[in-house]
Amino acid sequence: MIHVVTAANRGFYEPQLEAMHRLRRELFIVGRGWDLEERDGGEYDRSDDERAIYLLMLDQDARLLCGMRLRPTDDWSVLTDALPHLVMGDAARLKRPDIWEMTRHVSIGLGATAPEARRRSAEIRVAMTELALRDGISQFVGAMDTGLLGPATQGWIRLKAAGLPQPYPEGGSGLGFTIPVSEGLLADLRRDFACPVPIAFELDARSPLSARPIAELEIRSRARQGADGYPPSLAPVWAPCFAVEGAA
Amino acid sequence: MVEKLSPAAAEAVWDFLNSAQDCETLEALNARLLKAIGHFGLTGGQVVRLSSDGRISAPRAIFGAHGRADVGAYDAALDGWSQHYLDEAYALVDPVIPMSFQAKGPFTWSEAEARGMHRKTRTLFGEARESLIAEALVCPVRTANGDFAVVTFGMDRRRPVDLVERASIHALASLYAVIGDAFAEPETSLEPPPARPLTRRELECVYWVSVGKSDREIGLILGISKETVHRHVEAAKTKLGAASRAQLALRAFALGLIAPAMF
Repeated sequence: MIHVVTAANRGFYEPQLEAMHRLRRELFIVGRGWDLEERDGGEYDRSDDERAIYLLMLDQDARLLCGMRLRPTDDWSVLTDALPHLVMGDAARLKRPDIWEMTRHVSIGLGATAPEARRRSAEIRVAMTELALRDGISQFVGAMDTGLLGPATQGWIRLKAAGLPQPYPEGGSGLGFTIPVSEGLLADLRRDFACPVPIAFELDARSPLSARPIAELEIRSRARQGADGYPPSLAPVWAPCFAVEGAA
Repeated sequence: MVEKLSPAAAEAVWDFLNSAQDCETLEALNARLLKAIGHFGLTGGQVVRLSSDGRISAPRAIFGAHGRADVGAYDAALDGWSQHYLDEAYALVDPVIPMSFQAKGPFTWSEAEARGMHRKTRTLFGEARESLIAEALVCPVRTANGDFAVVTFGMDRRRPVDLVERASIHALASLYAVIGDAFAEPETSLEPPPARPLTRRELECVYWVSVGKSDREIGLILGISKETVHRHVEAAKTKLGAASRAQLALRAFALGLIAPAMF
């Protein structure tokens, strides 16, 4: 289960979002030395606004394992506005409401064993694609370290470079990428990474489930493991208001 | 100011980045790679695995692309050199190996040799140059199953490779290693040795170890004592069969238990 955290349900995830911002501060401000805004012990930038959607992977105590930010590129994005030289041609063509940027992918650990980590890593990709298909997102874009191109291409199947890599001032290099979203991509991800069931879970503030602790949802989700040991999400992300029994 | 490649080199790199996945054979992939790297004065590329099933292992050539007419002779020389490398235990003094785990981008044999502290290091590079190629550009990469590897490109010692070129070559290498791995001969043992699951706290400590934090710093982040952190790190080392903190981080990355952050 991957939690989809929007402006509407952020209030239910305050501890996890705080943990994510603290982790980002350690990695990007302390670790990489980037000049970014620091607030309340966490790292923030202009994309952390009402339009941002966070995907969170939590453990059974509802503690953060992994976080990712998605946001439309139409007004501003890291790739098109801060790093346009990583895009071949005019980066402005990627500024569209149906093109979303994936940024600030941070993880404190994906799994206790290699098989679990592989499965959970794939869950993030599947959840992103489920969300994209529900919300009419046609393409994900972003930037990453050049050395990650091969593994990222393997994980995303249809990822393509958006331009040629360029060196960072601090050493190493980065490049932009695009991932066209389609039903075919979701099918391929489900097949290649043995992820057959819906993964994304968006807590509806009007649902009776919203009165339950997040940790309880995680535990119930795990209790409903399928015969193959795979933990299905409580409900498909596209179900606007799922039944309470979905958690039972 | 953003430096740029020559138009021809840029087109060749762009073509590889966009078409490598369409290759249906290793030969087709090799042909496209050779076409791209030719614009940088590179003569061929060899993928060399540095870890297996998440454990550091002796360097082993897996597959490569060579534009030579005498491919058979080169392959024989490579096999002979690989055996000589093992016989001489050169891995113990080869600075390319630690640099491959630490470097953010490609580096040359000459740059690695300058860091070699052992007298045998000079002999190693002298023999490598005599047996194989005069100079190499080494690109640290990950293979399809997550193992650490390098793609070693042959190059002319007199031709400098600037940072923009290195960035493009690194991208070529990263993609080549993963796509080519799918065509390479499967390993005889693909079943990783069973590893005992890490606890949540152990996993957190391993993660912070991997980004260079000390026990004291990890304790401050997690709100626990440095002694407790130390116990978690030691337990994780035992479970993953790591002899040091560096090996612990390496193994956890190779097994996919932790992942690098992204912008």
